[in-house]
Amino acid sequence: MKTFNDIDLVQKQRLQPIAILFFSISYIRFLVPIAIYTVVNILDGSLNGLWLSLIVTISLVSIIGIGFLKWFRYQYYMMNHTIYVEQGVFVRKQSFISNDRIHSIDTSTNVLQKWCNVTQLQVETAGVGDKNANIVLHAITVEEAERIQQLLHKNMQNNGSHTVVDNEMKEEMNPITVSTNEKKNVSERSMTWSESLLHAATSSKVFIVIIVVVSFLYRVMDDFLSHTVFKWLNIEHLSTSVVVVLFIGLFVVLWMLASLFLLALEYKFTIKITDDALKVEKGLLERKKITIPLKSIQAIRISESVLQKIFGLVSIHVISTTYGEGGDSNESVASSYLFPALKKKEVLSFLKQFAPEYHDTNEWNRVEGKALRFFVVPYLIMSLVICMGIILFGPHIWKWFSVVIIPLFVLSSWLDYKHTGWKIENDQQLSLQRYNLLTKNKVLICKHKVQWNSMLQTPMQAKKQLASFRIAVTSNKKKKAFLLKHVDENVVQEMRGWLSKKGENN
Amino acid sequence: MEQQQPMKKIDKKSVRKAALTASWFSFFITMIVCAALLVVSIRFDWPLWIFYMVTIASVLGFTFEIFIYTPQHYRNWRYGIFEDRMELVSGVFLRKVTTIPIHRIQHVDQKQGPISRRFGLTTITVATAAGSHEIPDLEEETAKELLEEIITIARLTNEDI
Repeated sequence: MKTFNDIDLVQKQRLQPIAILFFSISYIRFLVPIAIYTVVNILDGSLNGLWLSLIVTISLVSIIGIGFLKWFRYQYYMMNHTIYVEQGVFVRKQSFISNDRIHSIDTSTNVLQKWCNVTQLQVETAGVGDKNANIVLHAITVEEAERIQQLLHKNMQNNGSHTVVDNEMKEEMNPITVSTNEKKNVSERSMTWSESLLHAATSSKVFIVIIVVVSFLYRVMDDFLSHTVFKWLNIEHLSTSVVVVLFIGLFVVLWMLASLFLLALEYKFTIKITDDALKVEKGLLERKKITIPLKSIQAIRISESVLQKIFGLVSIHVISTTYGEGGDSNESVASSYLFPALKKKEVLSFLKQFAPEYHDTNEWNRVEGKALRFFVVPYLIMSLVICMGIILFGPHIWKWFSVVIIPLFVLSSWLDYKHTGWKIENDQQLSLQRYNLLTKNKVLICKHKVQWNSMLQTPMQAKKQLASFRIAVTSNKKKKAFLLKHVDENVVQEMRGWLSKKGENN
Repeated sequence: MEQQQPMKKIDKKSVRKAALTASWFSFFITMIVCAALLVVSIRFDWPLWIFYMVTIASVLGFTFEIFIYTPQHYRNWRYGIFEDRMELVSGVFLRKVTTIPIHRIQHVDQKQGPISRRFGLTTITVATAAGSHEIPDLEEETAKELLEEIITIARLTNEDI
């Protein structure tokens, strides 16, 4: 049975022909210089219809041609529980991922793909930060995606031929098995409408979107705007109050647009828990399905921005080897949500349901008073330097206005001092809390997930018997390190001792 | 149960060589920057005091690096391998004590740049799933012994599990 299967599977397959279109679209960026050149010439009036149509035709033909070639050369097949992909127009490349190296298999469907009735399948390995370590099948039918998923999945946990046969039988009556499974073990939580709206309106990402849009407008459209819209508005003859109202109006409009964007991004966010994985689904334009194996979860982060605090909401993020955030900073990365917006009261029950290893906490061991200066002084000096720089060299209007940043920096460092805390729980979990960028961040780390730790101490800290402590866990971007600043030396020693004791789980 | 081996230093001979290596590098960089600045100053009629200031500052910085910072950096370095963990201590101003549990070590590498090879120095890299740590510029012999020691202990731990 097995050999028969293998021969059957070795047939190389291409993606659905619609992939030509996707590949072509992905090459459109190469046309940007030509497009700019063309637009500039049209505006000059120095380009006639013949040339224009010629340019458009050649461009279209060439990108569709390249798209076609890429599709033609893009072949995949499965053999011995391994997925192979051959691709490349000029340079041929063959890559493969065997079942035991697979970390996750995700599907995602954007509007175009949904409309053409295809889906995108992505197979990822543990190869961190290495894009070549992943295989993407851009357009395959939904049934094909399920078939591949099942063929690879069953081998991810295979324990001999017995299970293989067993699974193959299951495969045939696939719909029934899945539905019973769901009844048995799945619990599910979706974002309600009010949660979605509040999330979209309060997320700090709104500001990022606004800044990106404004800087884009400023850079690209500056000339264009001053020639058209501003002329039309006759901006030089308007009174200041009208200009201010206009700017506020623009800001509100941008805010709403950014919120809509976020609303679409996290549309109908749903999280499900099965026996061994969390499944997240989200998105309006592009419906994303993400699988997070429970084993791959390294830590949980709970963040609460100033705006969220007003509405009593928090965001729950996950740090895992397959999904979520990484790097040294505590900033959030686009797709790290375990749940975007949750009432504070619900956190406890949410974690119990979806991440039972982790417990929320609100009682903290705080830093001592002698640490205050270590929090504040560096920021005070930094703000003074920035201020002096601006006053000496900056543009005229901002000169004295810049003094405002001194109290702001001091306030934010004081808030960090006020909120920094730690707690060791049940000999299993370490919780840390920090406050930066107007956001309170709580991190819950399981002891047996900690990879390494560092104690850091400057001579000034040593004089006051203070030290900082850094803990690192694995993440999909190699590492995620958490810093606990300016606590007592003894606390750091205690934590090092606690970490070196072997827990029951390891 | 755990025999406390003393933490090891990076040996003195190695320190001298490593400091020399580092000094070569920063010497070249300094020379290039100063020369470029001189050329630009003459070409565009910049005031020459900029060039003088930069040269003096970089010579001072260079001297500080070779005679004070780098030797102290290597003198402060300690590493120790124990039954259950590795400890790395480093830093001149900011002292850093890093603990890596033995069972977290994924692999150990040694690497040697062209300059280090001339001096017979090797850097050992200890990789975990959350990034790697380096023990810089060991004598080749020492590095080999250390490598074997880590591998032996790591293997023993793995057999335990």
